Amino acid sequence: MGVNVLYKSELSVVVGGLSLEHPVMNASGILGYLPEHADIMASWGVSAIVSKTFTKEPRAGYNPPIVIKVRYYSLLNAVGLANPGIGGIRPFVERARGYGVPVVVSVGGGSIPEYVEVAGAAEDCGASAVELNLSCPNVERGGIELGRDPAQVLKVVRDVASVVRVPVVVKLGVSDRLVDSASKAVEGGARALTLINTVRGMSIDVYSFKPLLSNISGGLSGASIHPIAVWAVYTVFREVQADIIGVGGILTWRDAAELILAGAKAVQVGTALVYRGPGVVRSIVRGLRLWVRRVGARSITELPGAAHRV
Amino acid sequence: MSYVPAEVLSNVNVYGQYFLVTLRVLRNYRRPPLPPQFAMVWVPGVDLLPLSYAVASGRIVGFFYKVVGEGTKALSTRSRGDVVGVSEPLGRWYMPRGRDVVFLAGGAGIAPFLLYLEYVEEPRGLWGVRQGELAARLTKLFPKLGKLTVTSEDCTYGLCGKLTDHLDRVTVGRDTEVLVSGPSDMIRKVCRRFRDLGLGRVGVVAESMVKCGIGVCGSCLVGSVLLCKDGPVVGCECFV
Repeated sequence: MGVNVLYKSELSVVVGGLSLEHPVMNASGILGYLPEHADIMASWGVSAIVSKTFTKEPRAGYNPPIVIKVRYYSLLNAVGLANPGIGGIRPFVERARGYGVPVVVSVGGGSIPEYVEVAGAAEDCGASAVELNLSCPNVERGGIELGRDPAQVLKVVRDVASVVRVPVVVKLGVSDRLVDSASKAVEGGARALTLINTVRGMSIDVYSFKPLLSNISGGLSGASIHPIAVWAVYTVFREVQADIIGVGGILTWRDAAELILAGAKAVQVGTALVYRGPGVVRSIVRGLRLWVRRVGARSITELPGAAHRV
Repeated sequence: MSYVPAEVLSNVNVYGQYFLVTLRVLRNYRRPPLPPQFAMVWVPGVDLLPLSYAVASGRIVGFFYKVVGEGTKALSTRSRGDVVGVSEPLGRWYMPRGRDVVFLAGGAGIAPFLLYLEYVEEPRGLWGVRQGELAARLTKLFPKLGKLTVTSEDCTYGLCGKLTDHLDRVTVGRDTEVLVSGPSDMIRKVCRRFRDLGLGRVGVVAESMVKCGIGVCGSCLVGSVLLCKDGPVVGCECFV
């Protein structure tokens, strides 16, 4: 028992107002909109369950192929934000809350009022926090276009933060104006930033000359984008005072540690669940625990942003 | 999901809307397909279809399918020399532990059992079809199918009627393993019957709902099982 308490204190973190037993949660987009999905996600050992993005209306998503594996340890996806709509939030959140970890509802929309409405519904349904998806590359409205415009980011975050009491986390993708967008998100009331979303990409079959994804292009995740994520977290940490959740190509504890040193207080894992299986979260947590000791820290909370101090 | 390019060797119209496409994959599989694994077959620019391996011998693979929508319709128009994409084998392979295996298939649900017939010494069971002619023609292509009893709704081949009309002909012991594949109505009826009998172990082969194939999209959830990862054999409890 005493050992467990020690373990907890070594890795426990508070990010964006959420107390986590360890810093590893799942990234939005791997399962996450049905109650049964929550059962599977909880079995991964994540410190918070992050839902798939919910929108106001149900979305069927795109026709297959919607996800393909690409080199190296990466995925290209254009699922099209398939989800059951606002009515699906309560069953998912209620089931997920039964596992005793914070439940973060990812919120999407085609307009600012839609973000506000879905975020409000998530809070009403018992979400511990909302993560505004301002960076999905696979929808025609909202998504990445919204996240690229700092003035729009300010408006959507301010509007959402003024009506919900739970922490508002803002997920941004890489763009030329990432620092400006991050800064505006914090100004608007974001308690934390999730960096980064998938990066737009494409793959073509060389025999039929056809794009592999039905949507032609999609979002690239996995090892291919990890250095981009490290850069994004490092840069935003330097310029903006904010809690950061790092995401992008974490396959091992080293990748997670890198993002923490760049400035992330917590991390999210997505593509690794496909390539390394459901045990990957526990494996990363074990690795981080040993790493914290190896580098002589008493707690992982001493390490976010440590790369800026050398 | 990643694809192995595959060249169409033949695409035979077995009968009516039923086809058997044979492909030569252009790269070796890392692991050979075993029953009842399935592949996502990509018809470039049209659709991605979850299809059970009916044939798997080295680089030659085959899929028995019924034209039901745009994707299967497009696949049926592909001919010798055309290239499609085939994923690595998906799902878990499953070999019954005992020797006594009963297959119960409805229509195109026979597809996964075609590969099983290569592995099971003394297969028995029922295959229900609407038109007897389909059974006659497919049995010519897969002679081991002759070990199953056919039920035809047009009463032109085998027993007359639906498969579920003849379930009492299937003797099931304590060690019998029953594998079912077909329309969900049929699966439900079969599962209820064996549950009521309290005999045998029944597994359902299902893969038609698979969309992404790698456990990401969550659309192939049956009960608490993601078919693409932990299927395609699931317990009857998911259906009754």
